[in-house]
Amino acid sequence: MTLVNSTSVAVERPESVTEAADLLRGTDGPLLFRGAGTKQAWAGRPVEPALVVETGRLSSVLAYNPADMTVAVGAGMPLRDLQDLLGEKGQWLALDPSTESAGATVGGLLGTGDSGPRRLRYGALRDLVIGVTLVLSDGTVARGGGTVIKNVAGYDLPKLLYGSLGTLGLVAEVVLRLHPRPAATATATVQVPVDEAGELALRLAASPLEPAAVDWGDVDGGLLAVRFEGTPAGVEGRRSAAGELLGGAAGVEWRTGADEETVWQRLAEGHRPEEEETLAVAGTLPGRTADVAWALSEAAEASGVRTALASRPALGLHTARFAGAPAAVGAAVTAWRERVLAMGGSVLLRDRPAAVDAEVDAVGPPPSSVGLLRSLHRRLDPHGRCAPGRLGSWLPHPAPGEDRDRS
Amino acid sequence: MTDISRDEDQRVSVQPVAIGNGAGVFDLHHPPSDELISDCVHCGFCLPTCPTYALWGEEMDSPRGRIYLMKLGKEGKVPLDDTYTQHFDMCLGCMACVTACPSGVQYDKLIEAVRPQLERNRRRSLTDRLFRGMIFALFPYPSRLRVAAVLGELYRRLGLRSLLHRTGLVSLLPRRLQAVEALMPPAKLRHLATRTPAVTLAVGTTRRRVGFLTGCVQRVFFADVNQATVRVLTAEGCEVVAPPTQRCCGALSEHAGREPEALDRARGLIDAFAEVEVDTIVANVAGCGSTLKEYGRLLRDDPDYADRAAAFSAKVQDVSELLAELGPVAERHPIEARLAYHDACHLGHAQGVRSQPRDVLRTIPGLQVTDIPEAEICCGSAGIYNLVHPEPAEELGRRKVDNVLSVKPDALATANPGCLLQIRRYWPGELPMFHPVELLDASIRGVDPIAAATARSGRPRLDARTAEPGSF
Amino acid sequence: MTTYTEEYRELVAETPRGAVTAAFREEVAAVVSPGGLISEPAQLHTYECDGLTGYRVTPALVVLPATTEEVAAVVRLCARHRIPFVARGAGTGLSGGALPVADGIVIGLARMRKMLSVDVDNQRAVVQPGVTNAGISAAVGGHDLYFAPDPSSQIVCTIGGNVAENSGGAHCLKYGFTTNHVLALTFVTPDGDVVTLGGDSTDQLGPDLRAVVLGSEGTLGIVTEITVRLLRRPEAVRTLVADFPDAEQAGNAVSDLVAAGIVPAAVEMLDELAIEACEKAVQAGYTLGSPAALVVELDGVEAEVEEEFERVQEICRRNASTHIRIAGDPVERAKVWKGRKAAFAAMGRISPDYFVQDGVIPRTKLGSTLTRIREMSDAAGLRVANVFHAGDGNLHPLVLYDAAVPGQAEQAEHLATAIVELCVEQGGSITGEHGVGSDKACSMVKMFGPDDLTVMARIRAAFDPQGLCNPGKVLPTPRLCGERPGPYRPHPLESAGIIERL
Repeated sequence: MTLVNSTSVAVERPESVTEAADLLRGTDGPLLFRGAGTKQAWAGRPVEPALVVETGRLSSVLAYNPADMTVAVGAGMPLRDLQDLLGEKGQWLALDPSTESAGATVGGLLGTGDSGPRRLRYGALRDLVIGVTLVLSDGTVARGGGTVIKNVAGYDLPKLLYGSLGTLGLVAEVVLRLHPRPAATATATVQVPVDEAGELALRLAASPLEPAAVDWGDVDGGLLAVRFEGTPAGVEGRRSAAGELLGGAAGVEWRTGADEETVWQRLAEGHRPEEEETLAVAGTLPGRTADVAWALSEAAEASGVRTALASRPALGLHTARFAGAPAAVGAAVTAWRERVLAMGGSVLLRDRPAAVDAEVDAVGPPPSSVGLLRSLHRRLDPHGRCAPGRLGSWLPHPAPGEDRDRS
Repeated sequence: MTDISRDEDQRVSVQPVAIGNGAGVFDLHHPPSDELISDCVHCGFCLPTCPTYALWGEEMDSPRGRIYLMKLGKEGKVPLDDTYTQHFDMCLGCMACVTACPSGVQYDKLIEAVRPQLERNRRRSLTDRLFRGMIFALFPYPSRLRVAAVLGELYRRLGLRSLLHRTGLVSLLPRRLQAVEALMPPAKLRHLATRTPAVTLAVGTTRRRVGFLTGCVQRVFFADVNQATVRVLTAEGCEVVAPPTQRCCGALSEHAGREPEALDRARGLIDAFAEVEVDTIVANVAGCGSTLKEYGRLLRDDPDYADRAAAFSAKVQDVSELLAELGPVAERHPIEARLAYHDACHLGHAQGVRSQPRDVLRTIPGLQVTDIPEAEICCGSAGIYNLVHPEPAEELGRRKVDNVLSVKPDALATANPGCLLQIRRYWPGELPMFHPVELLDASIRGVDPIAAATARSGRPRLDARTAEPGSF
Repeated sequence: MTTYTEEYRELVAETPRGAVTAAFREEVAAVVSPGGLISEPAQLHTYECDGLTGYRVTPALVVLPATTEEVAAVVRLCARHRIPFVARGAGTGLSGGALPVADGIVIGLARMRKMLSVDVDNQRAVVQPGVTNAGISAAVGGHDLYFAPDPSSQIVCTIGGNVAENSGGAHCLKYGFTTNHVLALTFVTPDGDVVTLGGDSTDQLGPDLRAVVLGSEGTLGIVTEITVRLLRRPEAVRTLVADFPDAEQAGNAVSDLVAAGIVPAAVEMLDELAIEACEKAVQAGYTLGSPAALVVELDGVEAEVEEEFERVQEICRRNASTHIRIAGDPVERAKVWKGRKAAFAAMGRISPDYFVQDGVIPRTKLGSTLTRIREMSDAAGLRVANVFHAGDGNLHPLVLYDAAVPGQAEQAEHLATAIVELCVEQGGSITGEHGVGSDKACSMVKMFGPDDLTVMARIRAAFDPQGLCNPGKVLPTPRLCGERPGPYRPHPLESAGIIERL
């Protein structure tokens, strides 16, 4: 989905950090940073930019030493390409977002905080990023972190940028820690409704089985897939205990090879919107899976929209797709959000038709820390140029001129 | 612990105390040594095991903080006033920090150097002096203790105690006297006349000839333990010699910094044992044993005693050390129970004797010996600490009791009478409590005191203080 | 040559500050629980340094609040009167992060040590900052859960300090650092507002403020409640100690482990001097006289651990390991770790004084860096003990010296600094886990350029525009570090021809 359609918008594709810095320093007006553009509709809708900076040409491998298990790349490096490169050395960036196949870039993934099922075992990109080069809207080039996996010198700029959605500056370079590709993988699937999946996810977490991923999707009437990774003996050794935990051998199917990948492809579909669909993600305590699902079905029923749920119950992340009239969708999302907020979670709006924007607040109520966020934003992007509107009411635009606003 | 400083000075300033003797606020008689002080690298590993840090979380009431204060004192940067001295007074001397320290800081030597300095160079308040005077005029004297014990029993049996408690009059007593009142153990009148024989021959072959320290509180209130010790030692092939001329070993005085008194008592005890030829000198009270092992250092300046004291200390062993070393020969009978073993600080931390009592107890078939959470933290007894600092001692006592409760034992064993009295005071019911040698003795004799005590007690009673504990 | 930018100078400039007066003390006393105020000079002295004793400043006041509200109230008073404040946990930090500020106050969190809640199902706990790291694991151990970060000082250091320093530990190679295990923070801002960072959801919208507070060394505010993630205890743990004829061989073994695709829970290396100190302290069973030893620990699913453990032994043997000792039971394993974790403090057993460094290098540079350190140590005539997290290239060279020998302390400090700079030159970092604190603030310029530092200063000013929150830490200031802290000033040892740069 592309947000910026206006012909008047300039699009630049700098080839170096210096060029990018010069570009930002030499221009005025709102900016929008873009990798593959797979998540331009997430969160709030930015105002029309004066300049779009694409990272497509900032896509080289800057340093890769397999023995150190770190890699430094330009932010525009598509994850897919990076994985191919790393795969040659038996390594990978332990990240498997559903947008990988659409060409999602490393920089974009960091900025949006996108993740996939194996976040359960390896963490999000937040946990894998160790260094970054950031270009501020005034052209200041700042590096943070470093090139070694262990480093506490200075503020953690790389992680600060996780989920920043391009509001603090342009992520130009990223340094990442890598993992060895597991020698073996196998997935157990069992057909269960979502509430049962939630229970099983807690039991898996309480077991010593160390699943790499636990996903539930609304496929074949409700399918829970549990992936195990490691050495061949390790994966094999978990079969009986995992089978028992998942409800006995009868209902459990073990999948490997192409069969296994197919299951995960199908489950990934649940996290991608169809045309005209609205997609929102709820985050809660893992134990709330059934509550989230129940709240969603009630919201859908009350608003008369169609919904589909795809859940990562062990992570407490639940993707809902809504289809229907914009007003009805807005009502459904709002109702669901209220229920999820009441249970201590949050609902973030992702892809949706433009018309839905008028019906529901994309970002929801601001957190107690919003004063700090505004203060930080004003220090790093004093003129409010970076994707104004992206964080909706949290970062009002144009940014007020005074320095502090905490309350 | 602290309050707002009353000085109206805007900035807090250091009042330098200029004493040009190189020892700062201390006098020149064995001030804490710079070398020992500088061993501390300020890593803080001692903090979690320090009872006062556990209570208040204050740096100056931690071992590291106290060493820092010693250093400041040595440099003459702080005055030797009440603020300064209270932090040393609050130290229980449990030596848990010595065990915890990875750098091998000898806090025991440091605090034992500081305490006499404070006793010499600072005047305590009148009530404090009177109270301490009373304690030191009573506890080290078995004859006086026996009189006190008889009076205590009369107080109990005539119903005065329950009257005082019922009417709440007891709460009118100062906290310290309340503590004395509450901790005073019930004495068995028949034991008050008991004396350990001067010589008891080994059963069977004599494996070793040992001298036996009978203790002060121990021989009056815990005569059973002494009898059990003698029986176990003889059963294991020891000839036990208990010089009748022995008096207090000076441990209480030493721990309180009353150095001249402690040294006199040490000399006296060395003389008492000089008359008997023994291979080993055995103590069954942790606090006494640890001081006995320190005689060499205590008397290092006394030309007449230095060598004898060092030779004496080299012979000292806790009864569990000796038994573990000898190995069992007497047959044991089973005692089926879950036993919590409490490390007395002066055995575990001060003497490093931890595995031996457990090993010795494990020679009893059927006895399941368990450790207590936070085992390294003092119960608050600490010599006379629970008498002179009743409030923190009570907090620590209750904390220890909670930890003991958490392992759900049938009985508790510990090698120090002070710990037993302290734990019993805060125990919410009845728990049979023993010295390890009592259990060994019972096992050798083929009786099960835990089962007996449990049967006798029936339902747990809430006021442990009125209950007769175990065999004590 | 690097100099501070004008903007940077302005951002870190010290604003006019108030004084701790008797009236201020009264105000503070009114907002904290009884006994929570320390103001006697002798007592204040005991707070003048943390685990790094080389820097000492006596605070004007120490406050020991009992609740978040008390912390916020004290901070509000500081903000109003412009009094600098420094948060302190157990005071075990090794970079002077809790060094007080003259005429400022110390806010000690040692009395806030409650486990507020444990959620077994969701595998998390909410704790106050004064709870010790090991205390968390102890409290949840009954549920087969534990808190993964395990700094060597874990029995004493507090979770609040871990959050400030983003502490790691031996097992962070596999499990990550404190930042990877903290889900939410209750945070008192430098104006005394109480906000929440993070939350129940692992997906938060907007820049990750929780992440920037983690590891900010107390310069952005004070954390008063921490929601930590707990992990399920692994099914199997296997630990071995392998002796090697030299550090290079041991380093090669580590590289081979990594190349084999094994991610151990921990890989630690000790050299001969470190082994000697540890053995003197805790008798953990390391081989005295062995030039190098690796501690390798694997954990996870039983079958997997067994399979990989065999391979680890094979790799050690292939790299000329002279002896492999396998910890047969949990007691022996605990002993191995006790020895390793007491290593720093145990240096007191073999040297009167020492500097400990915390540099990081890319793992592949392990062997060559160790050789360089040995050469530098020989040239300086000072012993250097090495104990480090070999798996992630985090070196802890301990420069041993005797402060009683005139000039030796300075010489040792220079050698320690030269070693850290060597790490940076290798593409590493000045600090892997101890933090920058007071100790390495001036070394930040070795790693970061003026613009990098300016952006960090902007972040700091966003949180703390008055510059009251742990000032003088992390970022270099002209006052502390001179006007031109250029990265390539020749080192005194270098000038003397004792060391040379690679």
